[in-house]
Amino acid sequence: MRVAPYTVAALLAAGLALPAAASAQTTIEAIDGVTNNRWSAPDITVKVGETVTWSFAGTTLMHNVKASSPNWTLDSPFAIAGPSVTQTFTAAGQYAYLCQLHASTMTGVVKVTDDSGAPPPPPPPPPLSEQPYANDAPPLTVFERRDTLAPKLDRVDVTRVRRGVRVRFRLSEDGKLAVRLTRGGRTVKTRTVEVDAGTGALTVSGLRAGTYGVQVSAKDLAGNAAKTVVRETVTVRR
Amino acid sequence: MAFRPPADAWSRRDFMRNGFGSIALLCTVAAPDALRPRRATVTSAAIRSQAKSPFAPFQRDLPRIPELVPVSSTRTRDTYSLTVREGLADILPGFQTPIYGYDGVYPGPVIRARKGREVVVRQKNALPFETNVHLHGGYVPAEHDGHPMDIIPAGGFFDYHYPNDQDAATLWYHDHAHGRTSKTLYYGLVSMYLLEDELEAELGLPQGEFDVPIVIADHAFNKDGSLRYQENVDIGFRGDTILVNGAVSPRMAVQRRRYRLRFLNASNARSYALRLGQGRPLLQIAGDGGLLTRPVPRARVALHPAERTDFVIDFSQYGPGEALTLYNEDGDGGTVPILRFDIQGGRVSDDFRVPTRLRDSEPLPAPNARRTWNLALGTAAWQINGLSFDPNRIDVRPRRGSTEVWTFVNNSNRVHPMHLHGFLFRMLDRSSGPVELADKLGWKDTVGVLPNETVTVLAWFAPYGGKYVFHCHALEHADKAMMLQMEIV
Amino acid sequence: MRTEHSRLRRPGVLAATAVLAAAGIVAGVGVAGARENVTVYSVENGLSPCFSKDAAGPCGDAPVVTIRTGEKVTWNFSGAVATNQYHNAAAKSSTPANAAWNARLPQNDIQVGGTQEFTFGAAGTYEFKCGLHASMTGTVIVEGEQVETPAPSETPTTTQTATATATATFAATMPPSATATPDDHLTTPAPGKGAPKDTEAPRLQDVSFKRVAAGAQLRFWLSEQSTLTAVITRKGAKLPVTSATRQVPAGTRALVLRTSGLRKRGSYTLALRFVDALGNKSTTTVETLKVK
Repeated sequence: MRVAPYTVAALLAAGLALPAAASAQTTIEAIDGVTNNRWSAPDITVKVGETVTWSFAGTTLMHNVKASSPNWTLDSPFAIAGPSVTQTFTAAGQYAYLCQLHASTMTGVVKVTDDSGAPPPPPPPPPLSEQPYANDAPPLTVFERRDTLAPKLDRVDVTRVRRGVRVRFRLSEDGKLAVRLTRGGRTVKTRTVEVDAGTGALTVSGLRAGTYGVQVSAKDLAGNAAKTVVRETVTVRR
Repeated sequence: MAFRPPADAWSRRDFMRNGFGSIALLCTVAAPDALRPRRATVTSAAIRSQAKSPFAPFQRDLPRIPELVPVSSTRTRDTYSLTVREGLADILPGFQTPIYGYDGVYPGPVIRARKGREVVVRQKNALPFETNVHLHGGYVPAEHDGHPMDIIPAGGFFDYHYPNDQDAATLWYHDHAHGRTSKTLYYGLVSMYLLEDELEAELGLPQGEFDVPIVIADHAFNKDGSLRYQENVDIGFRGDTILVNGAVSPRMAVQRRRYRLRFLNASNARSYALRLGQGRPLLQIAGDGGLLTRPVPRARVALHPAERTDFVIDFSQYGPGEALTLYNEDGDGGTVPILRFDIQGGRVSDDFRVPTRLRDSEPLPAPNARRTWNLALGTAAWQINGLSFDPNRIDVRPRRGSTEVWTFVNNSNRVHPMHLHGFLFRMLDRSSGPVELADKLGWKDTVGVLPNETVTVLAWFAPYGGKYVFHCHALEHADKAMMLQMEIV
Repeated sequence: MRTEHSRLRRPGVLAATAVLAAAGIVAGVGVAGARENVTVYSVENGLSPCFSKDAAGPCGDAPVVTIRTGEKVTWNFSGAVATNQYHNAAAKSSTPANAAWNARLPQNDIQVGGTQEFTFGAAGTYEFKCGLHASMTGTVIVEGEQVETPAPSETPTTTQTATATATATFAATMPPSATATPDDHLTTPAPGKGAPKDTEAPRLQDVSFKRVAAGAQLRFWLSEQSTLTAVITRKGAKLPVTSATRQVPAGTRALVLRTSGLRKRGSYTLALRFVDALGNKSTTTVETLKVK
């Protein structure tokens, strides 16, 4: 803790005693630098009730001192070799400050302890609007969700109707039903139809009389084929 | 914080899944009993999801950007009115986030324009500082282009005239006041402008609710839900959360048919590498400057800041209940998931088939100049050819109607998305590998020059003359003067 | 020495201009396009920076620039960016006294990098200095007839201007740094600090809903510009006929929602809800339409 020489000299000259420790002064001086302006003693510890002085004597660059923690306010005007700024601290805590023009190099903290000298309470947290809310979502591992469940095709009943064939069926999911008619080994007709889950019927008409092989298969909308493939023979009459 | 249903909870998915009960707004409408969901969908997982972190992806439906209604319409012109002002957006559930927005909404309302019909937009500035509007990708006369020094002061207004004398394209508009763009875009001044024409209409591409504008931007937040901005002039701003149309990595209920998705990268400086599902192809039909000559299937799509890419995705080959995730391969953590497509059931008729030819390519005059632009970091400010933006200096004077070969040489290890105002260019060559086919088959106005790469383009300086700018669209670079001025004479 | 120099020059120059004016030849005054603009640069020099006509310096005598009325001097501080030094171009004196010039106080507008400008409308001798650095001074000698000068561009105007104005201020470029830098007048504030306190929800009147060839037509009067969500459902159907989101200006509006879903006979319901920019929601308005 330094006391500026002129202060001591003045006091002595005035015949006053040096100030008692309870109201001791602490001076922080601003020091110019081409790229590193700084405070002489940026981080200091004082007791409750003591006064801190920021001095700008001897500077040729403009500085100021401003509170940078939310628990106090101080904002001195910009000046070259301006008047000293003093602050008496009445509550324990940590009080951060800086020079606004040289905020990257001229920062400091005044730690104020209570009478017993116990360490000061930590500074209050910044407001919510200044605390980051980080994205805490877990990483993505699944990029597709596919339906791999095959549908169930059952209750297939193939009957002949007049000049045609009717297929009744039940499908467990919405899907596509395919009916293929063969005659004499060659495929004569195929019909593919989108159907809803549940029971349904499909009629293929316009057939000539004869014996047809009927193959009924189904897929769901995702393309999974039902295991059951029904093959039957139907004779169509005139 | 209690979970708040998003303000946009009107998607079909919500109707199908939860019925009217969850949407208290419609309590006066008799709920048809046929609206009971087909499968049991309110699972314990769904309930648990309501207690999850607000950053958990796919918790919200993709918000639909509102379409701007004109103030007046005549046979030849539509007039719109927008107020650039502060607003509150519902982004994180349980919070309201202050933003700057066109009409106070984020993303701003989309303007649908037609080729040959003039659009006049009265922009009123209700912000406490100056602003202006740049229609990115538009052929606009110099006075209406949003040159960084042509500003609307606080409390003023300006009528922007857009002739729309260009082919159909996905454009966008945003603030361009010099020195402010990195903040104003970040805080929400972004909007889309969809220009349509008859040739595109004849192709029968998906329209209406199946033509979806999608704005992607990365952001970060504070504990009170406000947007958190950290300036980084080196790589540009990087957020830890992807917002899509203003929602955190949402999901989109899609029918089993084709959709046209128009993507815009509205991030300050982040580039994306889009991938769909497990290597599903993305069929690209358009780039910055409109339709490609033919569609190009792509497995991995680089999307740099300010670029636009239109895809047609066919969901008919998937079944209900399946889902595909569009994600960013270059991200990590919260910047990986972008959008999840949830396929819905139901009969759909969609006869559309993507044509094999989309548009013709017009012949261009032979180039009459070659110029090289060196991109590098000067003493603590970004520069092009060693210069920073000076509104009193013209850096290049191309002749109107001519083409020029421009080469960008990136002497830094940062990506620079280089953008020309007022004019489009064709990609010729790049040193990092062959030019993507999709980039060769269309026009562009923004190209992501990769670290230490050299990119050559052919720019066409037509139709308007006057003073424009060209710049890096990593906005932290642009604001720290990585921009030059050109005068087309 | 500098001051002497300017005093010696001034009477002669003014006399010359007077002669020219009398002869009807007004040199450069009021002629658009004949303006010349001069730039003075800040030059870093350890603890004694200076102004110079040369961006590279070196620091020697304080610079003197001579211009004509109506022309502009730009002070360019880009040389200070690398060392993060603050400067400004403040008024030290003006002869004759010039209120606009003297308003450039030494404690105002200090910035790192960037430029500042002043357009000199009146003849005279103007001394400038940097408010932070006593070693940075210079002089501008202005010759010619009085001309109009544009008003300083920093004053925000609240009147509606019909054209975009070209601003004369080039935004200061701040060096990249991770620490917070003090506010200067070109920092863009985050939204929310001065948020308007509107809690009134949008109001709707005179709503009508009818079927037209293209689909559905909605008419209504709206109290403030807001975002509309409209859903049309048909009684007995599972899915809505159509839904739309629109940004609607205030006043009487007619909207057409394109849909082919209003062809079938039945009872249709339109539900409208508006939200303004601050999230105030209107009540949901419902209209029904019977199609026969």
